[in-house]
Amino acid sequence: MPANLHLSGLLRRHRARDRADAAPATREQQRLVDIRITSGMLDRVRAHVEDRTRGEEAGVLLCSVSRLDTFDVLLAREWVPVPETALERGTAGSVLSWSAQFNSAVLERAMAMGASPVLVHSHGVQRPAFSDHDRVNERKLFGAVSRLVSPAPTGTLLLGDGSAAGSFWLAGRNSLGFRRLVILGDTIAIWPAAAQRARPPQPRARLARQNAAIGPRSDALLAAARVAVVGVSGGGSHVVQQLIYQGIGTLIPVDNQLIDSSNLGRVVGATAADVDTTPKTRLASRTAMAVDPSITVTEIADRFPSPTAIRAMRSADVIVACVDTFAAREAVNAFCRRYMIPLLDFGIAIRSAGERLATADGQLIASLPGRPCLRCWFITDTILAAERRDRPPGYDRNPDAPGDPQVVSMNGTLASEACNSVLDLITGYSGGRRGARIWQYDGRAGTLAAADVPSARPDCPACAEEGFGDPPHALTAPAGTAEADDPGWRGRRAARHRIPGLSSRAEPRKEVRRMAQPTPGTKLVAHGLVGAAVAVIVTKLATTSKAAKAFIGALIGILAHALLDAPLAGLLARAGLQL
Amino acid sequence: MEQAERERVVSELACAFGAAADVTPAPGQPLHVLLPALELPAPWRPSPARALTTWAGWPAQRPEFFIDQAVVGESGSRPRSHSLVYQLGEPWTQFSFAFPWTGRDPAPAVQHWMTRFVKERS
Repeated sequence: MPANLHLSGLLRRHRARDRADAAPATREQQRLVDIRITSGMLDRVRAHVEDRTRGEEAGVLLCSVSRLDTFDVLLAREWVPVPETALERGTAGSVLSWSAQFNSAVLERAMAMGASPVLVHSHGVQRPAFSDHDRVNERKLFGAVSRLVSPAPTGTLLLGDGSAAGSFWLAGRNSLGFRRLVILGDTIAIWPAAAQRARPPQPRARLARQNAAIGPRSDALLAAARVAVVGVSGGGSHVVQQLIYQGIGTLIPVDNQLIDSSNLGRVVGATAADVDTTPKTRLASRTAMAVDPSITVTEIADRFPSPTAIRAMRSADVIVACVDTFAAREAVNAFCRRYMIPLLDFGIAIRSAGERLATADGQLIASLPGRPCLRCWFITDTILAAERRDRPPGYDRNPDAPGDPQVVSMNGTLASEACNSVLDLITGYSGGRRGARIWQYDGRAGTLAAADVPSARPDCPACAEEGFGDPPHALTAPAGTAEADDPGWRGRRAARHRIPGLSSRAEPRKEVRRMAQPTPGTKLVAHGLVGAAVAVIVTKLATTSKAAKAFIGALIGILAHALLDAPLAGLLARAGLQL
Repeated sequence: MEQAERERVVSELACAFGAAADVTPAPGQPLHVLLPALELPAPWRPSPARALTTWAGWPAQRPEFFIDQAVVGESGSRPRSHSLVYQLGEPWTQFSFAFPWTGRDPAPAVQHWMTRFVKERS
């Protein structure tokens, strides 16, 4: 796959530095990149790049970033195929280059979205590997582009079938390794890096009977999975306990409360000795240690959306919400949309009439990326307004007041079903029979009925931010990189935003456009570069006739200026040349 | 809200509070306005601080006001009756406050919210 040769003017500027910087980092230093994409978008990507009727095809995924401690997650938001009209093909249908206008438009769109471009193509093989040609052209293209979109990573993805190869760049360096493509549909499918030859871990003996039910492959998938549980009280304590027994590798319980005496009637694992001393999150660690010490428990004794909780939950593959209020549900739902994390939400409302239940209605909802979310249909503006009237922001309930009615066994029914959904998302055991659905529970009759979720709401405020990832102003260079230690870098990046602090989704678009407009000085440099190139070509012409040289030179000059001047000046401006 | 009205709200807030930016996350969503450097009365710190206002249902409904979750008072505590809310991918502090609502001018509406900081100090 070629780089665009028209970028050569810009690329030369960075080439000397690239030669020094481009060597891949050693394994120890290497940060990794995951890509999260919905199955619907991946289908569109594959339909384009695997269609060989015209020859090789390519396109660009525009991705937002979630920057974690040791790796970045690129969240695919938009697919832009390279149109046939922008392509120049070789004799065998291979792509030689594409137009500067396409590159320019894609970069402009990416910067307006606060996103980063990832080039995607396919060689039509199951386990792909980059060709030498790919490597050479990748270096030409991303050496420069990665400086433009820094501190976001950028790079190229080569699709296979069940695996993929990736090469990623940060600030001019080919320093990032590719870990996996995470495909979010009714289940979570993982395409690992094609180069990975990791031996699957030994199946855990304690899970032999579960493996007999859903296959031995499930063991490794579960061991690699990270699940966050928000709220580990009446409902969440059941979930945490079952996830430990299922063999989930990393658990992130999130709750800021201590065990109190009322919890002894419904929080599984709590004992009288825990009252007023033990954080609810500690029960998860205790159970994991007793059942399977290989399980990692990251306790977050804080309340979502505290910065600590947000930081920890971004790394989750699945989030289970067991919270009391619609406002809390709305917040977790918005978070999951933003980071493209499947959400399982459940709750039950019990009303008593004397000594009998009037109602015990609950529901489990699977809100999956690319599908309708809770805010599309379940958490309506009316419900939120009503709850807000009842419990204004900051409203603290009297701790001595009786809480809402709850029954441990009814909580457990919905919690078990939520754990089945976690198991299915990670292993796909149901063969597509679960997915994005709602399970309605009637605790009086003891029935659990599955139904399809209603349609997505076009103006859903949570879906409007799907895949946005980290707020742009919060995206900083990863610790340990040259950019993190460069004080001037932060200043240069801040200068791209008109407003210090939170950057605008609407305003920066204008800002980027203004920044991209060449100044007279930049235009002059572009004119000079094109003029010099034309002069060199004309002096090399074979003809000895001065008149012929002048005529051909004028013709080349007009054509070169028409084709190259504006894009070149634009790229120079975008690269920071403002004279 | 019409585009002209959005621009008017942003412009009036910028005049009143030094700077304001339309940070609405996507077309069709209620207006979100960031006040990047809002001066707070002592002892609230840090000052200036970032604040976010959302204008769903304006002018029939009052705007919502959120302050940077780092803002604390003298004792290091957040405003009374606060809760952390998740907006635009970040935690913000929201707090309850009742004030008379006329629904005409954007700047006084935000100023009403600011009154809370002054009142709580006294």
